[in-house]
Amino acid sequence: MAIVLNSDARHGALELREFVEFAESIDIESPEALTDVAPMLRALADNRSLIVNHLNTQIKTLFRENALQSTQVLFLAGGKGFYVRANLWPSQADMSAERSLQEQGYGIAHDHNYSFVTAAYSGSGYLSDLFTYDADSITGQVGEAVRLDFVERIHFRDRMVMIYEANRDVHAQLPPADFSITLNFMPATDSVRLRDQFFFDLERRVLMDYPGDLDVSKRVSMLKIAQHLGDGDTTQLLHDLSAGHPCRRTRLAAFEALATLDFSSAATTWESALRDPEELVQRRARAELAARSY
Amino acid sequence: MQFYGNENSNQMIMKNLPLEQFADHANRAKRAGDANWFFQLAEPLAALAATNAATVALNQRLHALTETPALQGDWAPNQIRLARGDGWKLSLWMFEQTSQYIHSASAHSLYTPTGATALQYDLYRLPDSLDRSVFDRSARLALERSGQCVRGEVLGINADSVVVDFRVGTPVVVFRLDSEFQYPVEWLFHRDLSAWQANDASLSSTQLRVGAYVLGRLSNPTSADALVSLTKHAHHSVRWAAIQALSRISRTETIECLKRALSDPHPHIRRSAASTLARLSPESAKDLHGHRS
Repeated sequence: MAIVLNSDARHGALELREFVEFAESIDIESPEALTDVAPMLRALADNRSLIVNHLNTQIKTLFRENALQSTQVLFLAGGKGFYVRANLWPSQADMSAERSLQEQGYGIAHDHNYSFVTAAYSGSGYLSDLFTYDADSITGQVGEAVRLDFVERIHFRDRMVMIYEANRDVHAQLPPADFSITLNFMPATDSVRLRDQFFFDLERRVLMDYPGDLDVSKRVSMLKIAQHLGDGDTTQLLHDLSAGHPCRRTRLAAFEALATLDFSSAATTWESALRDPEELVQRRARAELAARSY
Repeated sequence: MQFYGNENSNQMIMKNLPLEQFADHANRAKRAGDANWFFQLAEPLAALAATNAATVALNQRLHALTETPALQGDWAPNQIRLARGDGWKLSLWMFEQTSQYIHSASAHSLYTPTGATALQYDLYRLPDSLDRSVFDRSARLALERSGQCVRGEVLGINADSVVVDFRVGTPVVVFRLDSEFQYPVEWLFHRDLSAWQANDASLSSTQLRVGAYVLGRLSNPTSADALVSLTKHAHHSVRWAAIQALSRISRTETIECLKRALSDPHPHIRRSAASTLARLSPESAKDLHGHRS
């Protein structure tokens, strides 16, 4: 469950360089990593000139280092297996009239494929409806029913720090009363790039979609391209990916590409897919074989 | 070869070229300095598409994935980036569905299918008098023609005058060659061909506008210099974002920037500067008589 820390203790503001040095001194993948990072991220957030100094420099150099990943995310620094970013949360008054709340990312329930720490930095703070779910109990299929247990609505503000657990904590954020900024400590390891992230429909309580810019989704997209371009070498590579890639959606996409490229052997391909360890792949294989039996 | 928007195409037939040779050819063409150098790459692009270069590029990436399952490669949703050089970039694009809006082009581009599926398109003309930097809601596209581009043919789009909309029934994979940015603003049109909105075409402009906005909200006096420098940026929306942000930090600096903005090349900036000055500084409003746009 997401852990909310209210910290009144002030240990002195950290410089970004100091924070990065600390983060590089710990094992990012250890169970204690995020609880160790949390008070340090709070101290970084106490640095009231952090964002201003960073942006002043970036603007003078015209963002040559691509510090803004999107209109909502400002990259601050990175290290071995992690990076630190600032998230920008516009209020409704800040948003352009043509942009809906959903387009801004508000109101869409989602989990994360990484555990991370977030600290309130400035502004009145956004509202967040928190849920939990059991990722092991779902197959990862769009449209699948998901049990989402409501935890609480929190107002993330004022020196608060939260730790989110990957593929367990779900939240849907609502806009703050005024423009707000949070800091995030983000692990960036191989295990993150292999895991899925989901959007959920809170009304119907189903898995709604996958983010298009997720590493998993990008791999799947490339494998779709393979359906149209492949040759004999491609077929062998797709065999290897379908048999051995650790990500279930990647394996499924490899099976799909293989069945399309080598249509005459599609039934054999889907029979192999029946032996995949994941229900997501098996279910698709059963459906494809059933369709072919008519 | 099909070619639209530019009447000076090079008709010479080139031999087949693999990807590295294409990149070399493109760079030499750019260095040669011919005004039409980009569209002269149509024939080499068609020749490249006739080779197995796309499949080889794909296989290289699939092989890399088998060795490094968590690899973050040069692929993005529906595209694989192949190569880039001075003033051009080459990628494979998969069109899966017709887009919701019709987008103007911010760069010149060449398209050619990699396989048997043809690329179906509609070509539109922009109004002759259109100033791309000044959004005009009354602007409308005019349909020029519809057609298809099959394997071996190249569709050339000149961003100065032509807008292309791809009609996608069956997914199609193409080589796409883009020039460097020609226009900083991209227009979106509804399906009834009326103008809907204009957006930044380049990430850089968006970054600067958002950065300026954040600095304005944080309202720290140390940001004044950075924002004043941005008021001279090439893109009008960046200039105005900088002035707006500055208004939250320094009234004096803002008024000076607004006075300079009365002579801004963009009419929206001039108009906004005049009305804002009138509100902020009635004394300065007396100077407006010679600056009304």
